[in-house]
Amino acid sequence: MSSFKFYKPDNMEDLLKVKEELGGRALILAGGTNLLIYIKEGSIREGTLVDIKSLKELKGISGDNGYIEIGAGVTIAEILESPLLNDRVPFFTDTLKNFANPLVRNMASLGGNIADASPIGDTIPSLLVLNGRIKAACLKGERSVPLDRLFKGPGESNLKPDEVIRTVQFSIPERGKGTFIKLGLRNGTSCSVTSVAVWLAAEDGRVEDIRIAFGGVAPIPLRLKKTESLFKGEKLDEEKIRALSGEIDKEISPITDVRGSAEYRKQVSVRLLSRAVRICMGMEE
Amino acid sequence: MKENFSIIGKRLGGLDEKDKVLGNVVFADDFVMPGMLYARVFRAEKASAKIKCLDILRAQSLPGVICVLTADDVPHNESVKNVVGQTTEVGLLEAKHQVLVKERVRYWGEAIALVAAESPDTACRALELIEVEYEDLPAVFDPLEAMKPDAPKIHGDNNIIASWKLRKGDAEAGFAQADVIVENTYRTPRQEHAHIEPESGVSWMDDMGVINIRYAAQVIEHYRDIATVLGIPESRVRVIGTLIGGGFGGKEDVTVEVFLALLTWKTGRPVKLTYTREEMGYGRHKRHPYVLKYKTGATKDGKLTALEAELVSDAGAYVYLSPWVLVYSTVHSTGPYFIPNVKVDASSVLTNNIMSSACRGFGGMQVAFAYESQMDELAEKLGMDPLELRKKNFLKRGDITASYQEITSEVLLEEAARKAKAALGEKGRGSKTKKIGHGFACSWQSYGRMTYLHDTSSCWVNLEMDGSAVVRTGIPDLGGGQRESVRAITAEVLGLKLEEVHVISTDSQVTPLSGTVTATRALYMSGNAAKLASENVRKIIVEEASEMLSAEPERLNLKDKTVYSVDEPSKLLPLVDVIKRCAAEGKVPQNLATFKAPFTEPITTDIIKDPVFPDFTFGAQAAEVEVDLETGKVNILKWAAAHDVGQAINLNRVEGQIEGGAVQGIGFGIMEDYLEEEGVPLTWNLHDYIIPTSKDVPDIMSIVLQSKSGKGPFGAKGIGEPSISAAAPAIVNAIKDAVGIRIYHIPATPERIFLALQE
Repeated sequence: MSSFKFYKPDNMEDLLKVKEELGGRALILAGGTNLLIYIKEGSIREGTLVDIKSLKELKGISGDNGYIEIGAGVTIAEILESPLLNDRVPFFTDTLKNFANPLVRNMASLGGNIADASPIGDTIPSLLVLNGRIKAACLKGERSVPLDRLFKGPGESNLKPDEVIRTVQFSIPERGKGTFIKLGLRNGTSCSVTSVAVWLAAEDGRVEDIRIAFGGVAPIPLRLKKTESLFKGEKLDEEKIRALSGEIDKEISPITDVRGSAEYRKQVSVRLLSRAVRICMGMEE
Repeated sequence: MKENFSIIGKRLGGLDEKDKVLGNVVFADDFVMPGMLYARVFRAEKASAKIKCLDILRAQSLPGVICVLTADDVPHNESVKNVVGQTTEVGLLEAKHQVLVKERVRYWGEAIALVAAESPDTACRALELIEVEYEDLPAVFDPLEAMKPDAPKIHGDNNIIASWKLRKGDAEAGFAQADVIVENTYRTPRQEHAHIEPESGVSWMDDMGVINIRYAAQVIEHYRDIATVLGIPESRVRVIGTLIGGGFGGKEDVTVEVFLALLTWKTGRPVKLTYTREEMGYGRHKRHPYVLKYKTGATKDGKLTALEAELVSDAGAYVYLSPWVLVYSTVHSTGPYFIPNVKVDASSVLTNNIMSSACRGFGGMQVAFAYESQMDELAEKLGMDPLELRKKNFLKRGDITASYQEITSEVLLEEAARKAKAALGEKGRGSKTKKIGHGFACSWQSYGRMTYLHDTSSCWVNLEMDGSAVVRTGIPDLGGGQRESVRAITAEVLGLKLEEVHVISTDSQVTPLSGTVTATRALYMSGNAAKLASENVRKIIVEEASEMLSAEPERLNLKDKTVYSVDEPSKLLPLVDVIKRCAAEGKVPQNLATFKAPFTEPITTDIIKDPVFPDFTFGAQAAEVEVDLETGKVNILKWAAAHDVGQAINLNRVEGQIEGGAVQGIGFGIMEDYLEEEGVPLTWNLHDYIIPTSKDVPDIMSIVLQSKSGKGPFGAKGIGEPSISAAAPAIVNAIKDAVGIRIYHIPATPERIFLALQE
């Protein structure tokens, strides 16, 4: 049977003190869209709910010189409504248009989607191709962790028990175009079967830079650096894109679950990558 | 009855809608009583096992726990019912059920014990303290395997619990005449009802020693089952039905009422029991999954010559309504077509899967997927337009079906299909990777219960001194406006406004029993009963007024609380004056009427060769879909649904039923499937069991046809279930049109379509 305490820190320092004291038993409650489900289904049965919804230090979206910083407590809806982000990096806001449903988007925070460390967290593939980093804070100070080194396995990250995500940052690439494709079994309130984000910069049809990240094809959201290296420098046509996309086979290891078989995920991921590259190349809407 | 309706057929704002939107309705779980206990059900986590040891001592001794009940505490734990109309040659004659598991668990989620405690938390904690030691027993999960002689037996010595057949003409000879034959095997999913409101209720013992249960019930007559389990007179059990937040057949079999009654009977205290969403998944029945083998033949002119089909339904671990669901499948298996030679063999088979029972469509929907896929495939082979082929074979009024029933109402299938197709307009253009297709399907579905069940429905109507009316009807309102229809019909007949009619409904000791809200029977049965009772009251008024006005009673009409002569409208009387005079003369303007459906004799052989249903509703739905060649995902772009409802009572509600049926049918067609692995449920919440959202369905274009030829009030037909069946085949036919592949196993998930595209 569950038993929980509740605590509402007044400021960041207060929050970090609680984290220092309780570690993993301090359950960060931002939107609660994951946490409350874990509690209800019994996978978390005790601890102190630490309500950070009103902490100003975790809010705010800022950016200059192509550098964006988003507070971990910013909600998905706030990101979608941000004039700054819609103007400077519409790729990222587009990513979130099919995130769960309006009710969840109003509650769920960006930091929470990352900290949950789900292989299908819908904010993560896009942040991975933006070379996103998080700032993890504890009483002793802060450290910056690249997202592609944050995740260990389903629900597991390299955050230490006394750390919280304070902000998420990325630089907007100077050149190129990004796209995010999510495949769900339905159009609303849908978990991804797989998802792919691609950022691509090309000159005369030749790839100068490409970044590829997937959700749902491995125990963690994944940057596919080997496949990226194969694309780099290549002159792309549809056939070439198809052939190179097929190379992800060696980097991904999807599982079978109620949403799809491993084999389907493998094959459909190849096609989603092809499509994403074609879109970035302007070959398709 | 006059032809110009004041209320019937209009767009009516039901009086309960505002209350529902504002949250004023006291639904089952909203109800509380002083001193109320909270109940939970302890359920098996094995699909097939013997209980070696059940330890409830720790749970019982938890402070706040008032009682823990097991099978030993249930006066009549096991029940046996004969399956009506099955012969001894068929196999098992008896349907065995147990309230709580006595010794043997037959499916994962079966109820073993009941807990009642002072708080919901304590009840929940008590569940964790109950310990069971199991011994695994052999199990079978595939219905085709379960039919084999050496398969583990779920009950008795035969897993086949029902078999029905159609035999008409000579199928072999029919195929010999065919120029084209299409033969396929189809599979349909285990659909969850997914109603918004969980199974829920509150029970208490009143000061006269009657056990009251106020709960979300499609069948208030279950008070009889409660009395049987407790071994007390039926008159000591009272069921009060609430307005229901959806049921779709999920609240047709017994849900919480027997558990609640047992706990109140044991403790003497009020008890609440509301299922969790997860429990609604693994503790409640689903739609029967079917395997359907179809062989259909036609001449090159497009005349159907023969149908041969084998249907197998997975009944799960208990019989419940499976034999009746199978009757529906068998009768409807031909589709709404005249086929001279028919041979259909249908079986329902027990397995260790979750039980299957009633679900909107009741066996009429799985076969629609098969027969409408067959029609399109035949049309393709014949190089014929799919609607042209169907037109050559549609049943007509006066035709005799393969179950030897005459069609006695209009069949507007051609008009329905034509209008639904036309509503789609021009086909979208699609792209290199996303292809667009159009498809449609027709369907038929009976309304009203099987006639050998001798269905009746009663209603009482009374005019008050001020001219307002009170109606008592037992019919539950499932959310479809069943109660509101009774109100509208009474108001129409008595010339009153809707708000001048008060309807008291759904109380087994206060309202005349009107029967179940199942089988698309509510409007047909309780609507006819309300009309009959209202007309009898009207007759009392009109006869009295005819004396007062010196006019022929047939030439008098009631409108706006006035009785007037249709020949001389200036000759009129206020309704209240007539009522007052009635009262003075001891003529009470009230009536208790009972409407009887046609009665037939029970089926005495396994071959169905007599009429089984009062009548049928016909319709067609059409879809425009977009299929993503690279992912297999289907998007529904446009949807049109045309159904002949005979006579709409409230056009808004009719469209609501059509839209709801289409959406639920779309879910069945492309995404819904309650998955189990070796009997262990995998999709027991609405996170993993997915149903369509508002982003998955376009606006439904409802086309309401009104032949006025139905058996319901004013010529109405039922529409609750008939609106669901055509959806899945319409989608599958549209997918075929878009990308050239046919899906034989629904739901047509992205993965299934993707795999089919690779072949």
